[in-house]
Amino acid sequence: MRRCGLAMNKLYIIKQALWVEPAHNDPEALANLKAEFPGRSARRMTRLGMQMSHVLRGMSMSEACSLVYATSYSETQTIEKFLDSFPFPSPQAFQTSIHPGGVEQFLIQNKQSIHEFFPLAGGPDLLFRALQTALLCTGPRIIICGGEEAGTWLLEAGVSSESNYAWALELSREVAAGEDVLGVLAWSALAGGEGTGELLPDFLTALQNSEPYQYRSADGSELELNWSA
Amino acid sequence: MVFIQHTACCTALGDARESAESLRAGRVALQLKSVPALEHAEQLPLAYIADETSADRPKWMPYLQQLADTLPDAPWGTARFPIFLTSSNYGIDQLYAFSKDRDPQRLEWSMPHAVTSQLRAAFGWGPQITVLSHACVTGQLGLILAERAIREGQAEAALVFSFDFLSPFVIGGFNALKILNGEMPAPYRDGEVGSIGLGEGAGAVVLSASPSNLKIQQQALFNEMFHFTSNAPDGSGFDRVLEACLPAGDCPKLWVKGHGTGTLEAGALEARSVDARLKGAPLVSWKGSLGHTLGSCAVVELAIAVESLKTGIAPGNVGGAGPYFTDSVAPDAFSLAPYDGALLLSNAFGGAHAAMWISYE
Repeated sequence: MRRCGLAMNKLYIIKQALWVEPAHNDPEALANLKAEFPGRSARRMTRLGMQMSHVLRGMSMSEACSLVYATSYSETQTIEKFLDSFPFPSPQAFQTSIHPGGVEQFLIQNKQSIHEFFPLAGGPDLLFRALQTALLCTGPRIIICGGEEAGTWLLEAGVSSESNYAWALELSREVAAGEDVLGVLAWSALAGGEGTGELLPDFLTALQNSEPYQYRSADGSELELNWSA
Repeated sequence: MVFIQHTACCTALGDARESAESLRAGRVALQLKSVPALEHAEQLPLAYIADETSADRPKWMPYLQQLADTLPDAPWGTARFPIFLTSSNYGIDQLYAFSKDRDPQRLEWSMPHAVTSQLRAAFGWGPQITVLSHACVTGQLGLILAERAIREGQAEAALVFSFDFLSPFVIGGFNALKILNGEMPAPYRDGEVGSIGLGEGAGAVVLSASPSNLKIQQQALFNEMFHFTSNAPDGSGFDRVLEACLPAGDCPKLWVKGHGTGTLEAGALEARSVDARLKGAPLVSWKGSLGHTLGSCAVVELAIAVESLKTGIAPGNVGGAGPYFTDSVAPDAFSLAPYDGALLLSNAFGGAHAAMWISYE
């Protein structure tokens, strides 16, 4: 592994998982995703809930670990359904539209209690915010995750993700001798968070391809992803 | 050590001082009101601060401006003075309105990141803003992260800014779940029908390491993840957060501002858990008057608790006569002289529990 030369915050990547749709609203991808869940569960789950469950399934989730969830738009399709249901609002759509339902669907299905759960909202600097929040977590393992689902009329209005995806990283501050480490995430204390709009898509592409990634913004924010040899 | 430096809030009863005074007098802000967007709903218990929304500026902005005006001078939103922005709904009122009138101006205030940009522009805040949203424990998450940021040396001072205002989206949702119905809420009452009222609230809290007479002793979280809208029936979630927040063995003498929305099951579990852990500690909820101010409730109610400490008298459990689930529920205002500190609790969907223990001199 290449040594990170910057004086930065650092967390080791123990596990990673991604769900990236091959094409916009790909029906086959959705069918495959639904097939991962029992029929009754799949009918009640949101698309984002299924995506988040897919990536969180492989993490070493425990009551003691800390969980940070980052999404800008959350359950967009369910919010659309709920808004469309007026003047007779749907209880099911309301219940599943509530942030952070995408992750809670996984946790509740698995009856996985957890001490620390920090769901974030926000904009282009969300990845940096999730990492900064991870620094304030007290669990021995920190799982940071995120995802979005594309809407229909909210997408047309420009207030929705354009694609469906989910990601999760299991992180550790320290690594025991002999423990397998996938890579290292290092980042500087966030300077401004300005102009980080393209960060997350490029970062996820790097995760998907297990490629190193470096990001430096004009205002001094830095992020570096390196993989073990 | 982390200390509370500044608190402020606004509710349907006024600012923090006015809210505390009104609550001590037993005044109920909730009123049964019709909601035009819900054609077949009965009148519902609601406590509004603000009038109806307009397209160019959400109804909540003037109140957030009032709160921002109370803040001590500091470069808020910079690296050493971060902001933790907390709400469960942000601009969902604007999104609801957009779904009806398709006025694109509303979208500039609808999503959490859009709201954050608007607040930055309005208040001159820098970009160091962590935006949190975890339903009705959101405010407490902000307080926990703010405390940790100071304790870890990341921040010199931190601002927790919180707000939740009502809209047909929220009212319609809770009404559809039948938690919000035509009954006025009566927290902790051992009755036949449970119900909540919804209120509007906004609050701000500044924390730093500079000593003040209000010290944060401990904060804790526990998420049951038993069910979306109900708690584990054995009450274990309520017990676990108290275990995590309070010292083992003997506790200092505390009074308890509970979550107490007015639902039967959660009210009974909370009251019994508090009574078992803190025998004799008076338990109150103010949501029978203010309504449930959702993601802002922890910050709003902390500000009212701090105002109560200044006068030495806490409001009682406003908004409903007994019989209560436990004898520890305090129906009337009471002196704080016998107590060393306060325990403040909040809960949310998913069986999320948050607790904050503060001491005062």
